[in-house]
Formats: sequence, structure tokens, C-alpha cells
Amino acid sequence: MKIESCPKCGRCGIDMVHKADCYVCPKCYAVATENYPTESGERRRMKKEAGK
Amino acid sequence: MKPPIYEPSGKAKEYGDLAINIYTGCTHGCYYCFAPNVLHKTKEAFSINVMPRIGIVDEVKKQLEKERITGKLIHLCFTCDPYPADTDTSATREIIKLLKEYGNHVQILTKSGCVRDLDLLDENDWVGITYAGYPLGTLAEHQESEPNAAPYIDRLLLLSRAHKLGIKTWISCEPVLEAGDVLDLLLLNLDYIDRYKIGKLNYHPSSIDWKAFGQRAESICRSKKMDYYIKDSLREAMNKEADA
Repeated sequence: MKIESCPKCGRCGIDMVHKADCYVCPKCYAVATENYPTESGERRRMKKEAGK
Repeated sequence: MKPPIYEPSGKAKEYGDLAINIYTGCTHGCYYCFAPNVLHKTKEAFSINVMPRIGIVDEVKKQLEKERITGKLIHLCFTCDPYPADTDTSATREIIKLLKEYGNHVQILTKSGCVRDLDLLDENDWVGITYAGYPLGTLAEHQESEPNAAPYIDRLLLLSRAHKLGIKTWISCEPVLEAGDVLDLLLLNLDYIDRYKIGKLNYHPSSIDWKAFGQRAESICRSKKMDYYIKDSLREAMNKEADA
């Protein structure tokens, strides 16, 4: 699984450095695990919340 | 062997009230390291055949029993890394177990990315790494200045893991090799770092304007309400009148 984007700065996930079960953003050093929601998943969650 | 748990003096005092140096040297090969001088060793002798100091675990146990040392924060380590590369670090684990058993807390400072003992630590302990400022794009690379230390991506991941486990995390921005990179790190105000200790480069020449660096660093930390500490040597430089 790939991270679609950095959870902090939004940088494209392709640029994130993969280490063990984590991705580190080379720009803001945010750490995302492979279980971190993808951008689309996050968007879905936000939409759902907004619809409440 | 002198009692291994000791009270640091001078600049080291700012890091902790008590400390232990577990190994005979360090394999990281950092060019700026002060420890060979302190131990009256050549850099080569300091970095080869690194092993736990003979009898260190037993001596720590004896001292803890005899002096009833408890409730203290004990720094690991000043003249070595508690996790030197390519070295059996069981002694570090044994010592942490002992310190915790006697009700003490540990403050680790390492340039390794694989602290195997996170399972022994809790919210009263600190895991810290050195961040000297590194060139852009070298996140996953070994640094020329610290050839055998872990790439700093590994160090940051270590802090991220420790933070997730509820252990307190800190970064020692000392020595500072690249002021701009250290300031950039501070600006990020990473959510998995609890405290920053900021110093300068000691014992080596540097073209960094320490006064300007220190003021900027402090201004960032204040504006972002970060938990920070400016080391005395940097504070002194910040308070100095500009050179004529």
C-alpha cells in the first residue's frame, strides 16, 4: 500500500520515503504508517462528517 | 572502576543531574566528537573494539544498592552512544532494567535509529536524538560528518515510535553544523517531539553567527510555544555584544 499524500503538508505520497512500515515526508518530516488513511479515504471521512 | 553513576560537570551538567557512560568508545565516527579528548584517547582507539566497560552492569547494581539512588533522571550517555553501531548493546538493556527497578528514569541520547529497549521505558523516560542540521535531500543517507551514525530518517522514526508508546521525546540540536537546517526543523514543530535542547558547535571553528542563530531559534520556539532549552554556551553568545 502507498500513502497518497503527506498527512501534514499534503506533498505527493510518491515523494515520501518508505522505511519499514512507515513513510516519512522529506519536506515536513511527518511520519505516516501504512495504516494511515489515504487522501481519498480521508476525504470520504470528512464528507461523511460534514454531512452529519 | 569509579562508581559509574556520576554527576556531570561543566557543559554536560545541563543535560542531566546524573549520567552513566556504558561503552569504551563509539563507532559512529563523528568528526566533532569531544569524547576521545575527554578520555585521553586517539580517535582511532576510541572507535575500534567498542565494548561495554568491564563490569559496568555489576558496578551499576552495586552503586544503586549502596547509595540507594532512586527517583533520579539518569542520562545515557555522554562519552559514548548507548546504542553504538555494530555492537552488542545488551549492557544498555541491563542497565536500563536496573535503573528502572530502583525507581529511576532514563534520558537516552543517541544517533542510532534502533533503540531496542523502548519496551522498558514509560512516560517518565526520555528518548532523544542528535540533530545537527543536515543538507536537503539527505534524509535517508549517512552523513559525512557522522559516517556510521544512523541516517536521520531513522532517528526521527525512532522518536515517532517512542512518542506513540507514550515515552517523552527530545532532540539535541547540539552540535549545530547547519544553522539553517536546524531552524527549519524548529519551524516544523513536529508533533512527535516533546522538547528541544539547542546549543552550538563547541571546540571547532564555525562561520555561524551564533547570536543571530540563537535569537532566531528562541523566537521560533517562543512563537510556537515549544518546550525548549537554550544551552549556556549559546545563551552566552546570544548575550554578547556584536563584535566590533
